[in-house]
Amino acid sequence: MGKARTFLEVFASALNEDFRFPALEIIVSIHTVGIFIILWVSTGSGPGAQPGLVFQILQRGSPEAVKAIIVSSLAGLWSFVFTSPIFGMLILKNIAYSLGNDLERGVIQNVLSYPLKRRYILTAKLLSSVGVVYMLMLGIQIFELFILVPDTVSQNIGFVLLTFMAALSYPLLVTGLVLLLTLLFKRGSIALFTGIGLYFSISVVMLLLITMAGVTSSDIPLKIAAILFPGIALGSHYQYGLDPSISKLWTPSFDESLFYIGAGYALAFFVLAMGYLYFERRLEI
Amino acid sequence: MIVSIEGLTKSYGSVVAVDGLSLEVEEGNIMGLIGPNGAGKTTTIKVLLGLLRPDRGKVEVFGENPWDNADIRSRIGAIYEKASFPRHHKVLDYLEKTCRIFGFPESRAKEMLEIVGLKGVDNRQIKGLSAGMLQKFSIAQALMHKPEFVIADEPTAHLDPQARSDILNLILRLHHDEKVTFLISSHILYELSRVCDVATIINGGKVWGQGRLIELLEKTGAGATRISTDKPEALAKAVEELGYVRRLEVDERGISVLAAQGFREQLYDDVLKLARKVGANIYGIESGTASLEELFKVATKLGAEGGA
Repeated sequence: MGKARTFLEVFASALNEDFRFPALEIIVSIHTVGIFIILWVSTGSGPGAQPGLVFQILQRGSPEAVKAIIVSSLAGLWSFVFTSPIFGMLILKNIAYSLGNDLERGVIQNVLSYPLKRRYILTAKLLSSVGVVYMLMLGIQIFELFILVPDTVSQNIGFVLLTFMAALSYPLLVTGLVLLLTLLFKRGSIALFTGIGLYFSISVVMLLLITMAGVTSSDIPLKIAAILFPGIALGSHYQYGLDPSISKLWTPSFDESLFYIGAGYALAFFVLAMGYLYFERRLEI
Repeated sequence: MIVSIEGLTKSYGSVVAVDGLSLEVEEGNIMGLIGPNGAGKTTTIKVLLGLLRPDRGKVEVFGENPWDNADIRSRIGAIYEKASFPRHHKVLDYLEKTCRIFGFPESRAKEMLEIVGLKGVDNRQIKGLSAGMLQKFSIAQALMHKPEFVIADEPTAHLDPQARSDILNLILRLHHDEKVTFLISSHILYELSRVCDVATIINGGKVWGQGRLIELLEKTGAGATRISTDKPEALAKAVEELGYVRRLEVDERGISVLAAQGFREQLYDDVLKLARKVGANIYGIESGTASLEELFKVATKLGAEGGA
């Protein structure tokens, strides 16, 4: 009980600091809800409104088309395009900037005077800085889908969740890398700027790999990219989301897609585990 | 034994911060850790608090390795020289949180604020505290859970003279009433001399001297009485015969005498008698004080000369 209470107090304290001035969070929420409203309107609500793209597809589409829409989380994907970087920045702000500054200013050494193992202290910090952001992002996305296509989502909830899973290992991987950088630098601003660079450079790497696959007509770059971004494997499986000339290079089976999702998470958790180990066994303050 | 350090070595890259340091803190003592900037005091303290891992050596606090055992922290209070806290918490809220963490009633938070002289700032954000107030806040937080052992790195830094005195009195009171053991590092040496029973002098990461203060004074010659006279050789010859003289130095203007503990007053009387006897004129007697500052000067000088 004592340790659980200590953990919760550290978690509450981290929440208080990470989300005390929620300017970025407000921007994210307004932006995401705004997209949701636009999508909702575009699906034909309101008197005399023309049915939007999503609504048309859902009305006339075949079961496979509907499944493809669900699997690719079309409604969610649109907002993903805009919100992913913002959520990514939010995670970076919370980990690199907050944790880095805590290390830099000596707040962490004070927290380490509590009778709580280091790994629990880091867990509390990560739950606050990353867990809450993930829940916020997923909550908005799933809420959005449920409002737009409630019946279809209910019937295909497994696919929807799988799609989200495929999409979220990448930010988790970036989180782990940024955590490692933050612990190594022990400087908030350096970790933040390096993290931002890393976030976008990995995206550039993905584009380069896809381009390379097209140029060389080889599926190997796609497979490598699918480990970083398992959504590529799932998209290729359902022939959705990639240029047809690219996706025809590699059409993984459903089980293969699952393998790449697993590999993506294995890589992300490995990096996170390195961060935990470093914090627990090596980090000196 | 609360603290036992044997052969502690800790380096930062090529810089050796602590080099083979051995140290013991017995229960019920107030031990001073004395040394100039860069001597290795803070590194030693951080190792004891489990913030740094030793390169070599054995370190135990309450019989446990502090790097591996988080549980012992519930018995330790830590006061840092540069204390830092989540900036946006309110003072009382944060201390109440600390109470909950350590299983104490929240009412103790207000009690501690009063003890350290921080009444009336309950609802102020931590970032709004002055440096001195922050130091007091840090002390309140460190003592919140009634630790058996307090490690304090420059605890009176940033405080005004009155606040320094208050904190030193608080340390003495906790030591006397609640039998709290302290390890205190400071470069404000006259303050340490007010509270410390025993001291360890470190310089360049090595222990120069260790033990009861009076023994260290005798060892270094700090605290010697300076007698200015026109016949130093004759007076020195006479004074040398006194059984309680531990050290005697002669120069052309006078002599420096280190008397054993409790014989300083007697030395004054005896020197005057002996001066009359040998026909020497006494121009002045400058009393040696039991100041750690003096001790430190001698220690540093001897250390530089390889006297360690």
